[in-house]
Amino acid sequence: MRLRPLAVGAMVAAGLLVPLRQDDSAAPRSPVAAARLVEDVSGPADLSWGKLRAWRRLGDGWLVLWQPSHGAWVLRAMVKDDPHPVRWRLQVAPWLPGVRLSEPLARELVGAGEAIDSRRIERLARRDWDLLRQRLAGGLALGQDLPEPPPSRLGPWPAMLAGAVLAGALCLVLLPGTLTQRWTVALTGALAGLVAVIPSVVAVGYPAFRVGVRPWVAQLAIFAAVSLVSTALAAFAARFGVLRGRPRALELGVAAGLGLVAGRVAPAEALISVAGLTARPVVWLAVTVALGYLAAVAAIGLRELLHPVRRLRLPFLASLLVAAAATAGSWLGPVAATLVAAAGPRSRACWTATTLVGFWIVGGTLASCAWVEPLRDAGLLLLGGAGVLVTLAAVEQ
Amino acid sequence: MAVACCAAAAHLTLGRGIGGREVAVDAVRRAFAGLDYRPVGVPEVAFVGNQELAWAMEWVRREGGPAATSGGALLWRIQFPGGGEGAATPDGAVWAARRPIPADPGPNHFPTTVQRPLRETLARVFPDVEQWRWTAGQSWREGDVTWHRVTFTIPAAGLPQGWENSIEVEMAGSAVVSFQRHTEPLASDVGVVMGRIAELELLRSVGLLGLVLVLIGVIVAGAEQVAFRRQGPLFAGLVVGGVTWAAGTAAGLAPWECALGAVVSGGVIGLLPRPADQFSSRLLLAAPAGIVAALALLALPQLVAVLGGWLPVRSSFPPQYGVSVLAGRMWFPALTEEPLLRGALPFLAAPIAGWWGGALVGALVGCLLHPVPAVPLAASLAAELGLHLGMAAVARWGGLACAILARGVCEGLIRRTSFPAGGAADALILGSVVVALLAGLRHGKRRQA
Repeated sequence: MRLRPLAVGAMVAAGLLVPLRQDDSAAPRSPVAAARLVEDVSGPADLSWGKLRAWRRLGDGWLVLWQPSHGAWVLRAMVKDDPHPVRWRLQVAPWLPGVRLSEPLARELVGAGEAIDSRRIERLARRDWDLLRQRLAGGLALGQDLPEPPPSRLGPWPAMLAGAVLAGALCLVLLPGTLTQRWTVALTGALAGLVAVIPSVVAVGYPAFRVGVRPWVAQLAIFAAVSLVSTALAAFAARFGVLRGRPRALELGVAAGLGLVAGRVAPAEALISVAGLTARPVVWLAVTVALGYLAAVAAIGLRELLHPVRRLRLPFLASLLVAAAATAGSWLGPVAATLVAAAGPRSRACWTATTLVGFWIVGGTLASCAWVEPLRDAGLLLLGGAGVLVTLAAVEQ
Repeated sequence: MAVACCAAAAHLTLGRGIGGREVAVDAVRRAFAGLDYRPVGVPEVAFVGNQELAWAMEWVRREGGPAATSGGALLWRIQFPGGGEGAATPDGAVWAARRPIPADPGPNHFPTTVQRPLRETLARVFPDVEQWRWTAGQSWREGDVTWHRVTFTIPAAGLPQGWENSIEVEMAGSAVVSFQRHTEPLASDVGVVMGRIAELELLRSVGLLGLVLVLIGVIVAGAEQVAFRRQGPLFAGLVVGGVTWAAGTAAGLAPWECALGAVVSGGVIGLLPRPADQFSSRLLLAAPAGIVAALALLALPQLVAVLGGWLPVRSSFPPQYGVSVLAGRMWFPALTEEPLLRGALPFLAAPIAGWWGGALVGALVGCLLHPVPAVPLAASLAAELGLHLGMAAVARWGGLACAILARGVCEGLIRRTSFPAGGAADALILGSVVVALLAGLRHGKRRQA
């Protein structure tokens, strides 16, 4: 009996099938389809919207954004998964000229009653009105307020990861072991691929598209930021390297199963946004290799930090994993990869962490997207990844 | 060479500041005299610059030479200790005035009859008042005094086409108490500038991301030094960090910026294994390099104009003015960016991309940090890139300390036009050049010895 391949396959299947309580249902449509819905049914009719530039998953809906090439206005819309009604909001540069309407005329234009409060904003060459939730820029209706994305708060888990990465980098210098540069080459290649497809990736850079900023400048800023981070990561990997080690199929099977569970427990909103891209496999690959590498370095650091209590290391890491499952949210994937890789030997940390991160992406995508393209790609990756793991287990046996 | 450097620095400094202080004070005094008010005491005079308006004016007049001082973009605000304040442009046009309310403001006027006495009173200050167009007026009563507030549209002499000028006048009884002029620029002209300011803010955030990444590299490399118990020049790092903190405080920066700058510069100097040691230090290069870089940057707007673009002549106005602010604005970027971009980054990148590879990345990051609006935007980025590449060359052939000195001298010379004229500011910049030269001469003698 070939038990090891069966065990690995069972772990992957368990990660996929174990029942979990999920608060959020999967997104039923892609961001492009959501944008098409807005174009068909709603939005300001007497204005050029420009191109669909960016999107972002927010709660149970898509925030989609259009901007013309001059950048003087931005149209944002919120398309809930139950899309009625679609809400949209126009933001206009403060210097754009317009008319100066009187208050009665402004009320009449937006259909507001006399009783509501009004606020007048004098601009350089126009007058804006804020009539409760309805706004006018000159004579242009700006639509309704949209829900704001919550302010990003990093919390304790990223801080723990950062500290562990620093410790891991020092460990790789002080206690180097046998280093290999193959992971560095793989990481550099994956990041170079990401940089090459940036024109297809800028759509997830939602915050960069601002009123008054021409879209090509926003795209240039995203390109520069991604290039900088990629270069820094590649340089970091080239400086510190990775410990050489052969992967073990059972460890990778555990990592794959846990990764799938982590992705299903807390799908990251950023990953759902990435699922809307056509270049999603390239981004998944780059994120998998980059986060996997960083998680491996963090795992090496965490392992050495726990050296004084090495007998309690496994229970401590397990309790941290349980705590992370409850509180880490979108960071669950990298945190779980670090903790699981820290439980194993240093030389296999990169294999374990990368596997967990890769299956975390697949699990998150399968759990949070209900339109066909990302499901197809994630399904293919799942089958391919599981096949590789089972084959590895068979070869090992 | 020292004499040539001093002469060039004097040419770029003396008479380049924003002048017209005395002219503005006299103009405001004359305006008060026209309003039958004699201010007493020596006034406090402060410069106020409207950045967007100034750049918009430069943009409109890009083919007509240097920016005009009209339009209220540059103002001297004058406050008399005994009451009364006003503002005037450097060329003596009174922009605003407010006098104390007189004990007996004279007989009240009806709203329908106020125009004539108002114009007669204003004619003592503004001879062209008959050409003004009444736009709006309101009146109200406070006690026994009737107040009138009137807005006139005035001929926009000296302003670009499409721009408008208005004046708001307040009258109590028969006395004009205050007036304030407003410039309403053509929205599209201001839009060019405001849009580019927003774009550069976005690009600056990428530059700051680059600095943060380099700082992380410094922290990791510093931790490595500590782990291997390698002793760095910690005292020098502390001193440089303290000087950087003082420069940031003098520049009026936020405390967190000062602290971060101090940590950056002190960390690079104190923790990293002296990145400049691999090159011989030639401090004598600092002052000439800084002056040459400033000359090139100051000549660039004309070159861009010849090529059909626009690059502002004047650099950005600081939030406050003063010699200490100028000193901070000169040396804070020199003390933070040079160690990070010309010291730490090439040192960290050297094993992978070589020193010049790291310096090139540093120049690309640095060119995003302080660009000014330009048309096309690439002109400004190219100007900043040129400055940072020049500083990289200085650091390569003169050492890190040389690059810091050169950058400080260069920043002082190119920022001179954004600060008010005055002997103290001129002395600060020229003194910096002299100090850089003396440091170079002393260092050269020590090397020879």
